[in-house]
Amino acid sequence: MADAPIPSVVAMLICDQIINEEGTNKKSLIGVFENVNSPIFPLLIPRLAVYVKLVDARGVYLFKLRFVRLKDESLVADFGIQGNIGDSSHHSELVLNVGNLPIPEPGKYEFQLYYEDIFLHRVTIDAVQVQAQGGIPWPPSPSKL
Amino acid sequence: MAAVAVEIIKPTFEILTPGTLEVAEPSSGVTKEALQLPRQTPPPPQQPMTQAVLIMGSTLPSARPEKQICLGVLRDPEYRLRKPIPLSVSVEESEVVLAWSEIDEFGRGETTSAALDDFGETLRELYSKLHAPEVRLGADLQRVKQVLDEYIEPRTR
Repeated sequence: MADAPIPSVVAMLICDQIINEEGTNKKSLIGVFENVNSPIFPLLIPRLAVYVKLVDARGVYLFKLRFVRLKDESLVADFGIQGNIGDSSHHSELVLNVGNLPIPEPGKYEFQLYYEDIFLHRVTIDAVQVQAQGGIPWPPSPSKL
Repeated sequence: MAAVAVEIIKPTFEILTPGTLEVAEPSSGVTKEALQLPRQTPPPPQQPMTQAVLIMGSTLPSARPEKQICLGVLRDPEYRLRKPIPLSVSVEESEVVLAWSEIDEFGRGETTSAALDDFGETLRELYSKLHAPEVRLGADLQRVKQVLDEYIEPRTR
């Protein structure tokens, strides 16, 4: 595994969902984002997908994807991914779907991709606390009752 | 409260081949069928994660490597690394400092990733300068160039 060439990351994106089209293998990345707005923290992101396009990969790889809070570089979540990539003459694509990813507090976070212990790439998201919108303020004014 | 590791809920992954754009022959024109989306079917069951850990608790473990990190890529489409570059990790005045003792180069930043970016940029500039056609190098820089050539190669495609 350690003899496999070091892959390069051509693109790494975070989105809501990735659809793979049967036959053509074309991917549709739905809802690409880099900011998370929420009135409350901590929060769980119910559904999130990570798309990685790789080049120069051939062989069996143990990738690690780490979700890190940048304020103090603490580890929030850690994913181990073992995959076999057959042909380095083409790009390869890694698609990771995650449910209920926690964000402990507002601030900057990073998905960091490693091949074993070798740092490959990162993508940053910014979690922002916003005021709640909609709903009736409490206590409701008499006109809204 | 101490950190507790628990399994995250049903994460999955796939390693896929790139997509292909199917273009109709020019003579065929745009038909009503060509405007229809291809048939969508549910994907096959995805592979389960080899390992997925969600960290819970008020104290999260540090993600910063204690002593060493390996750099695997230069963020430049013209170059690739033949082998990872081992960098020592230290913290000086609240900045992360990454040092490559073999050629005495370093990078620094607020976080490990920022320091890796800084180091990568320094390395790319150094490689370009040492490989400029008109440059004449002394013995020390010849050695540095030799070390860089062991680790970095121009991308051929």
